[in-house]
Amino acid sequence: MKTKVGVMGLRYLIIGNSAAGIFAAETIRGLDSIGKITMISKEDCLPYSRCLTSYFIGKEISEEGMYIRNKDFYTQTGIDFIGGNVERVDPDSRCVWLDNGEKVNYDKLLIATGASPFSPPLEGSDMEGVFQLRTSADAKAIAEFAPKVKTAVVMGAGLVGLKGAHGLHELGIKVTVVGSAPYLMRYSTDPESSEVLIKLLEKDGYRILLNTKAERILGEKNSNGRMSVSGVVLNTGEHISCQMVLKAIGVRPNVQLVEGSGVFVNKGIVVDDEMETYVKDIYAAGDVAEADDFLTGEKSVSALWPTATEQGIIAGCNMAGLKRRYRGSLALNSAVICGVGLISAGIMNLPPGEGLVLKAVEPKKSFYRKFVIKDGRLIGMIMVGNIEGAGILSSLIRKKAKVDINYLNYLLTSPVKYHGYFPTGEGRE
Amino acid sequence: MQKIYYRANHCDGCQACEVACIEKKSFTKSLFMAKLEQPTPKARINFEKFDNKYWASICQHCIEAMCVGACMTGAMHYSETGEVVHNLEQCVGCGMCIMVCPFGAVVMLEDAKKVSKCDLCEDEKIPPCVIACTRRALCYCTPEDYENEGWGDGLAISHHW
Ligand SMILES: Cc1cc2nc3c(=O)[nH]c(=O)nc-3n(C[C@H](O)[C@H](O)[C@H](O)COP(=O)(O)OP(=O)(O)OC[C@H]3O[C@@H](n4cnc5c(N)ncnc54)[C@H](O)[C@@H]3O)c2cc1C
Ligand code: SF4
Ligand code: SF4
Repeated sequence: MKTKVGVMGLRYLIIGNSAAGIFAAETIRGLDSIGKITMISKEDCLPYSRCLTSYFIGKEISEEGMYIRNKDFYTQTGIDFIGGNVERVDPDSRCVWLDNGEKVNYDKLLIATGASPFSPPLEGSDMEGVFQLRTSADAKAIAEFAPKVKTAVVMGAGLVGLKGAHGLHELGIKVTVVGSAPYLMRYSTDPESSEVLIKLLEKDGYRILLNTKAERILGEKNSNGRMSVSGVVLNTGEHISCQMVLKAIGVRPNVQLVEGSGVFVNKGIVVDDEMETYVKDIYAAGDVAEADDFLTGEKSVSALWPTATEQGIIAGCNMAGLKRRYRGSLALNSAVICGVGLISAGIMNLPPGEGLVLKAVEPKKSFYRKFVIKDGRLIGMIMVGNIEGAGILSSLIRKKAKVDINYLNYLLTSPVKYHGYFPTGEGRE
Repeated sequence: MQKIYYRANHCDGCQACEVACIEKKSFTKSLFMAKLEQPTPKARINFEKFDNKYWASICQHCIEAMCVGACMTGAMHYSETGEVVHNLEQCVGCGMCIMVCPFGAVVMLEDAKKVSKCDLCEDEKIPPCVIACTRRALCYCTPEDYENEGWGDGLAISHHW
C-alpha cells in the first residue's frame, strides 16, 4: 500500500480535528514524512470522539475516556495544531483566514469541519435547561445541569437522541423521547426492529412517543431571575412537565467557510471519488462532505463515524499523491439499546413489491434478523440480539456478489460465522 | 509482523485451538477451572463446520483494518509493528468493529460490555492455539514466509479493503 508517487514536503492544512481530520493527518504522515501538516480546530482540545459524549453524560466513562488519541499525539506525528475558527477559504491565494485575522497558507487543503445540530425554530428554545448534544462542551454543560433534573424530554428519536436519552437515564432521570417519525432511528431500523427496541426501552422505564412533535417549551422564572424549562407542550395537546429538554433533531454540514470561494456546495461540500472538491487541491471528508453512495451511486451526506474515517483516509492518500478512489458510503450503524445490540447496514426498507426480504423474529429473546436482497445480491440487513459476525454480512453487501438464498436463509437463524466466503487478498490498490 | 494463518484443508475439526485459547484467556489459566469462571472465558478463534469443511475465523491483523476505522473510541489501533491491537480499557462495547470485520473475528464479552479479539498472545513465543494444532492447520508466520514456503492453499486469508 505504501508505494507513493508524488512530491514530498508539501504544506498540508486540515480544518477539523475529529474523525475525518485525524485519519487524514495520520495517513498523510504515513506517506509523506517531511511534509508540513497543520491542523486547525475551533475546539481547542485533544482529538475526542463525539460518539462518546453520551457515555460521559451517563458517567460510564471519564472526560479522558472521550479522547481518541493520547496527549502527545500532535508532537509524535509532527503536526502543528492551531486552536481557532476558520472564517473563510481563499483558493486564489491558497490560504484560509481565521476569525482573529490570522492567515494560514496551504498547498493541499482538507475541509473536515463536520456538522452542527440543526432544529426548526421552537418557542422557548432560549431558556435555561434547553440543550443540544454535539461537542464535549455540550456534554459537560448537560452533566453540570443534570443534578437539577428529575424528568427530561428528548426531542428526536434518532441515534443521537437515543444515546443522549440513555446518558440521562443512567443518571436516574426519567426520560421521554419524542420523535416525529413513525419508528425509532428510522435511518438504521425498520418498523419491526424498532418495535423490539421500544419494548426494551419501555421496560427500562423510558417513555417513547412516536408520530409526535413538541410544539412549545414552557418555562418559569427560577431563583436567579432567568426563565428555566418547566415543561413541553406536544402537538397532541399533552403537557409533559420536565426540567430539561435535549434537542436532537438532526445535523447540517458546516459549510459556511467556503461560501463565495467557488467550492461547490449542495447539501454538503460535493466531492469526486478522490474526495476532491470542484476546486483543485481542496478536499473534503466526513460529515461535511457529499460523496458517492455505495449502493445508489448518487451523491449523499453520510453523517457516520466509520464513513468519516474512511473518507479521511482516502482524502489523505490523494492529498499526499497516492491516487485512491473512494468506494462509496455504505449506511452502517451499531447501537446497544438496554444491553441489546443492533447492527444494520445498507438499504433496510425497500418499496413494497421490490426485491426479496428474509426475516426471523423471536420477540421473547429480543432477537430479530432481516436480510434485504435485490437482483440476487444482499443490499441490506438488520441484526438485533446476537450481533457477532455482522461484519461478514456487511462485507457481503460491499462485495455486490450474487448470493445463494439458501445460504442466507441458513444465516437468518444461525450464528453468523466465517465460511471462507471471501477469496484471497481482496485489496484495492 | 507474524500472524496466524488458517488452512482449512488441513483441519479435522478437533477444536484443540479453541480449548487452548479459552485456557489462555481464562483468569485461572487452567482449563478445568476456566469452566467454573464467571463469566465463562470465550475463545478468540471461532469455529464452525459448514459444507463439510471446518472454518475457523481469527483476526487477520488487516493492513488497512476496517475495525480500526470504525472504532469510535480508538480502542482498536495499530501497534508500532503493524499488528491490530485492542485496548480493553478504552473499549465501550459499542459493536462498531463487529459491524465491519469481514472475518467475524471480534467476539463480544457480554458481561464486561466490551469486545475482544486475537492479540497473538504477545507474552508467548508461539501462540498456544498454534502449538495445540497437531495438523498444522494454523501457521504462525509472516506473510512473506507464508507465500514463500508454499504453505498457502489458496484458501488463506489476508485482508485490506
Ligand atoms: C452524541 C453523538 C453520538 C453519535 N454516535 C454515533 C454512532 O454511534 N455511530 C456513528 O457512526 N456516528 C455517531 N455519531 C456521528 C459521528 O460523531 C460523526 O459522524 C463524526 O464525528 C464525524 O466526524 P467529522 O470529522 O466529519 O466531523 P466532526 O466530528 O463534526 O468534527 C468537525 C471538526 O471541525 C471543527 N470545526 C468545524 N468548523 C470549524 C471552523 N470553521 N474552523 C475550525 N474548526 C472547525 C470542529 O471543532 C471539529 O473538530 C454521533 C454523533 C453525536 C453528536
Ligand atoms: S477487521 Fe477483523 S480481521 Fe481485520 S484487523 Fe480488525 S478484527 Fe482483525
Ligand atoms: S466495541 Fe470497543 S473496540 Fe469495538 S468499536 Fe466499540 S469501542 Fe472500539
